[in-house]
Amino acid sequence: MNMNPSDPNPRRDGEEPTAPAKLVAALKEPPSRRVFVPSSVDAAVLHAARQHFAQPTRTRSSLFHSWLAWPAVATTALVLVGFGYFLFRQDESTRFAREDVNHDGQVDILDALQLARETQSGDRSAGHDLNGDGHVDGRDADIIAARAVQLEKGPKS
Amino acid sequence: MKALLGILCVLTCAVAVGQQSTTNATTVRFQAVDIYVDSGNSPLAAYQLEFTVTAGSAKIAGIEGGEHAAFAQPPFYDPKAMQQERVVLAAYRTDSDNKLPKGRTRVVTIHLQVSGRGELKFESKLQAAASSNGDKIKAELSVEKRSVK
Repeated sequence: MNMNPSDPNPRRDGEEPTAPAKLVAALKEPPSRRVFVPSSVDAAVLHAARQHFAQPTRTRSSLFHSWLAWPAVATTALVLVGFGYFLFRQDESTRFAREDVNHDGQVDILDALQLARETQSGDRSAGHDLNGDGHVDGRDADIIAARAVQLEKGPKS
Repeated sequence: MKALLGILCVLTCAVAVGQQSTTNATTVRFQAVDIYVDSGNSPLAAYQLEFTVTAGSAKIAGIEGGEHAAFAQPPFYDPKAMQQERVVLAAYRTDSDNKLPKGRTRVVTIHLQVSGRGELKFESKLQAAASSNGDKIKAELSVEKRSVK
């Protein structure tokens, strides 16, 4: 219990304070007379408010920043798209082993046959230069054949 | 004199037993196994097969090419398969159709070093076969022990 005798709102601990009954009655009573506000004051307040809430005009500096922002956003978008494409292509090329010429998910004699046929017809892919001699030829196909018959193959392509 | 005869008898028996055990230990023979691929009407341009000895004591001792000129050379195989019971064999040719075998043809002969007298059993699986244009074809694989003449 609040024991301060000067406290106009005596209350127990934990209770909401209550306003004095006289104050409550005064607040409920409608104003007896209308307060006069001169129209010049009204107009001044209105003008000040309009100025305060009016849309701010673009300054030269903000225009400059917006012209810089759009190319920056466009460049960033292009870089992101390019990076994504690069990752996608890299994934495409590493999804299959180099020896998996026909991309069927396994390295077997069919890959060797396909590469040998391609080299015979002149359709040579530089990616299949497996012995690194700078040429794609029958020796690269033989490397695939040798890989196909390995008893303990590496990870599946 | 009797003692001398006894010792001689024991020695003779020991020598006989020793000879017998030596004979058993050196019972090694060679067995040729022919492997055939039947590609039907399609010219056979490539094959890949797996051969495994599943029963009997036998080790791969040699690999020989097939009967047709296209596959007369020994096929590709892992050298680690020598003295083992399992091998993967494969060969390919880029020749034109008229230079490739059709129908049933012996593509390879495997020479086995067999020890003991147990019956040999094999398992073979055709992993791939293709025609000259690189397309997969259906083919039948068969294995025959070559009879000793």
